[in-house]
Amino acid sequence: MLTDCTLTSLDAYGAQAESLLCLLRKIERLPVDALELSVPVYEKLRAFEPCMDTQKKYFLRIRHSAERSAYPGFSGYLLQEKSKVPAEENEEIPCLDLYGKEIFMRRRGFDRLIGIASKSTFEKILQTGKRNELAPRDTFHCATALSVTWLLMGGYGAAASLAGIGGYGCTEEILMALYLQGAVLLQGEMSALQSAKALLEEITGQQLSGKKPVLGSDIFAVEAGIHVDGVVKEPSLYEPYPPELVGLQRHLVIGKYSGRSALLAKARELHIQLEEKQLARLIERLQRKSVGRQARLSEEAVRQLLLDAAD
Amino acid sequence: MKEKCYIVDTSLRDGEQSPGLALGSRDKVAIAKLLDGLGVYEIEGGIPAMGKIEQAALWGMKSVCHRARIKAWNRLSLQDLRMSMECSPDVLHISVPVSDLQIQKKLQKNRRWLEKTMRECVDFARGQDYEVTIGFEDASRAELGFMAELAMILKNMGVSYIRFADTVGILTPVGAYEKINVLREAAGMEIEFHAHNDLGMAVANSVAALQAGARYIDVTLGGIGERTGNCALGDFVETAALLFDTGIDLSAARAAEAAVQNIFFPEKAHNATVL
Repeated sequence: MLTDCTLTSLDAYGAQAESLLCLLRKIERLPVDALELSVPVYEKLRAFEPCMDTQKKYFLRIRHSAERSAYPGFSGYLLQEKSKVPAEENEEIPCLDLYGKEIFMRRRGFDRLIGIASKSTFEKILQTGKRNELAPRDTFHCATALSVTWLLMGGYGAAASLAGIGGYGCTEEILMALYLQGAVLLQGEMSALQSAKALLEEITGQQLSGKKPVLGSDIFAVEAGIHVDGVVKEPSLYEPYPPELVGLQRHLVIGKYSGRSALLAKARELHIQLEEKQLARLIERLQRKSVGRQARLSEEAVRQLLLDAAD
Repeated sequence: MKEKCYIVDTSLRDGEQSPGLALGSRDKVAIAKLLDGLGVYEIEGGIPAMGKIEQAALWGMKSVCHRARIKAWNRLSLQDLRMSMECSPDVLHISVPVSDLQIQKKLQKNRRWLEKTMRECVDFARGQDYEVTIGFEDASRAELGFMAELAMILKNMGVSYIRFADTVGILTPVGAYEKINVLREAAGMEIEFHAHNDLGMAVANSVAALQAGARYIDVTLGGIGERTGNCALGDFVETAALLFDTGIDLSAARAAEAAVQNIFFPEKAHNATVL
């Protein structure tokens, strides 16, 4: 079971109810099993009845046990009282049903459990036979890896968030890793990621890096000669999954590292006739221009460069 | 006492292949000097076969770096090696695609051709008294038995160590650990691990590789690189330091990563906050 906690990490941003509802709808389309909401977010969303999809589970993050009766209708309630454990230590957060019966135990933490060391720790947790949901903190950049390891070992569940907001592993990375390991099927649902990302950026007022795994707008840009040559022949040579799977497109960038294949492909794209013998000089000019600008060339600059060479 | 691991920085080769980056010789030399000051073991400085700008950069790095070894990257090509030799690097690195997918679809050759060409290139470089390292490109999708066979050949030819490249960034920590462990034991060679961050696991996989016995870890400043980038130097140092001696000061690494942002991305120097 994968629970997305994105909607518990946005209280500080003062988001509009409409934006939160849009984000909720996008996350619902992802192949996650459950969504977790904070009380302030739910307070904004409850005006839009029915705000919850019947196909998913919904959990509410509460501070006091008594809050359960004030917000009926959830599959479970994560009771996160004011933390009594020091930062970086593991914390146990019970998920209760409306009547107070424990559904599973969330284990938050595991900050220092890095690399392969996680395997033996997880084996011990699995041996207890209890329903444990893992919510690793990302203090040491391993939260996604820990969640994936846990789920592949047969762990009951993991909690994550889009882009890791709130210090969790990243929902999108975990889903893609499980897909590439053959543990989940993806049938178009991941294309909702791009609009979910845009909403997250709008709500937080912060821009995600173009290189952010799975979400970043530049992750399928390709420039280096050796890679363009490979991608032209067979995209899977240098792409772990097709860009369309996550709502992105491959795009060719012309710059210092572009070689023959890239220039020929770009010339074809722009319907410019280019001969093999013109390439060596063209590559040298391209390198000088790119280095001079310290950046990729614009479409217009590339077109001009190719036209000059073709003359 | 923590076990030592060695940092190989490839910001100036794989990192610079990040679409849109275009460094001149002067910038590359300045960054190499910064890396040398940080105490990285090796700097993969570029691809001399690309031409004069890269060759001038490699020359410059040799003159300003007093501790780090300077490595030149090459395809399986004698012409590439000749162009690298013109810069007198400390180490010649030859990239050898080892997955059947790469051999058949990219090189459009077969395993026999690959082994023969690899032997010719290594023989040529070793014959000129160069230290040689070999990069197994797309190793995470390659057959372990085939890589072990190649590694044994390379060991007998005097190759220093082999790089295991997770070229498309698909490994998990358990997968990285198991593959490195098997290859290291079968080949009896030192291993360098080269991660990509496509699934956000570059740091975790690099630590798992160390735990499996890899000795060298590839990083880039701020994690720049193709697609989602490589293993970020600062993040790796911060995490690996829990178990290993990286020889790099974390605050100095973070400062270096901040310092190069304006060189890598001059147009974005005053960009908005990034999540």
